[in-house]
Amino acid sequence: MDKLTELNQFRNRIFIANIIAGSMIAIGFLSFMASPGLGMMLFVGGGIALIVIQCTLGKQYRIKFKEYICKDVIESIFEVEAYDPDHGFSEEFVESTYFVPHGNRFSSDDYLRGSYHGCTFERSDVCVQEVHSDGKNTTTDTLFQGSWTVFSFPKKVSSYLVLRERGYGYGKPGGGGWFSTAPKTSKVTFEDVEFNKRFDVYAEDEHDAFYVLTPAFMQKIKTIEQANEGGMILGIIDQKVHILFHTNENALEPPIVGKITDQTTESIREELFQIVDLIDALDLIEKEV
Amino acid sequence: MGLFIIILVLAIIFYIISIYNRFVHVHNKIQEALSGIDVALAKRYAILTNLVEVVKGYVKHEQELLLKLVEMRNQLTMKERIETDDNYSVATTKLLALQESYPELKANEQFLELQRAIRDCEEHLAASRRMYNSNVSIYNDLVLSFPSNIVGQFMNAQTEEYFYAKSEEKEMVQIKM
Repeated sequence: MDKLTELNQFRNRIFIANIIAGSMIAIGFLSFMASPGLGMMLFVGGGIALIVIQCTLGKQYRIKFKEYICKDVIESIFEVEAYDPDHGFSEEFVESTYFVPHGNRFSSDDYLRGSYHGCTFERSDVCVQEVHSDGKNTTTDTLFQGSWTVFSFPKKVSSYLVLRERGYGYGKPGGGGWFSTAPKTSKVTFEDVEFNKRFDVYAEDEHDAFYVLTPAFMQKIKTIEQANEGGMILGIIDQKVHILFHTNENALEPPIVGKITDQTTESIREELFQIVDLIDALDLIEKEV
Repeated sequence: MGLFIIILVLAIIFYIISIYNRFVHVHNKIQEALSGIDVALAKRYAILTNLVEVVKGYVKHEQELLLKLVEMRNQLTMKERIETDDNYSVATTKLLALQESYPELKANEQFLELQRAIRDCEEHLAASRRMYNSNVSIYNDLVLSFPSNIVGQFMNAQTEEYFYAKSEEKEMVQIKM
């Protein structure tokens, strides 16, 4: 049995299990008036079943999908050193960069470390949220959700820099207040008027900002931003360049509805080719002088 | 009414202070950028000195001219260094082009390392110039725009010159090799 068929059969079993659990909930709710005891039992039982299905079968399905589909695609494109579908960048790592605001709910998965034509990278899906609850209502603000890719930066830069697409920014890193532990930055504007309108740049060292953001590099960033969905953030810290796309999606996940087809594999491939496109666009493959 | 006037006066005073500080801040940035240009030029000249040492073993008859250029540098003020920067740019280009005439240079690790260093140095120099021009633009806006020009007049602030390519830079400087 091929992998696609096996996955789809597994998905169908989960779908049927969800239907049964959902039906128990619905019947329990409807029969509550006629028979409270039975209604409550069906309602609660259905709810518990639904949770168990998602936590066990649902999780197994996701793991199988990533092992069967994602891993194959990854290995066909990159030289893989490590791939962990269940874990991603740590919360400490993400917070230490100050590229996105700190939230009180964090998740990260699909950690990938590999190389492409000698250019090494790390990638993960990251989600940072702020959850507020006043007792009656709970609101969840998604501060960042999307892909986070890290490359070695070919230029020697010792200071901190972050570039954010307008509309996806949050001001100075860490808020910029006196008591902030984020690097102390100032806003830098460049000679490219269009670039200044589309991006906000905060840098610890203004000279390094001009050194990194040459006219050619700024043009590449504009091109990358146009070619990719989601708000773009580019940051440099500790000689590494981080490129983030705030897409409000967790990529490399199985489809919730619909069968898994070759199109699914293609969309995973397209998602991962974003890394290749970034390497090519930013000219990160070292060339001989 | 009295309170309103006091608040208004305080607001004007704070505004003047903030503009004054902005003038000072931007002026310091200009000085920082100028210093960056000088550092980059000095670094380039130091690399050029090393480059001459590396190539002289291969190209004995060019050595005299190249050493002359390096010696000149030590006698120049920063302004003169910037003005003669073109000569050094052309000399550097010609030195690096020597690898075409002397293929054995391509295999020389020191030469290749210096080639990389020069490229990096040029990028730092370009960054310093751009940073200088950017801050000069901000400063000149403050000097010329209303109402900051009022504060500028009290400070005797004058517009600064941009770092631009002079017409001579666009001509090929003839250096006999």
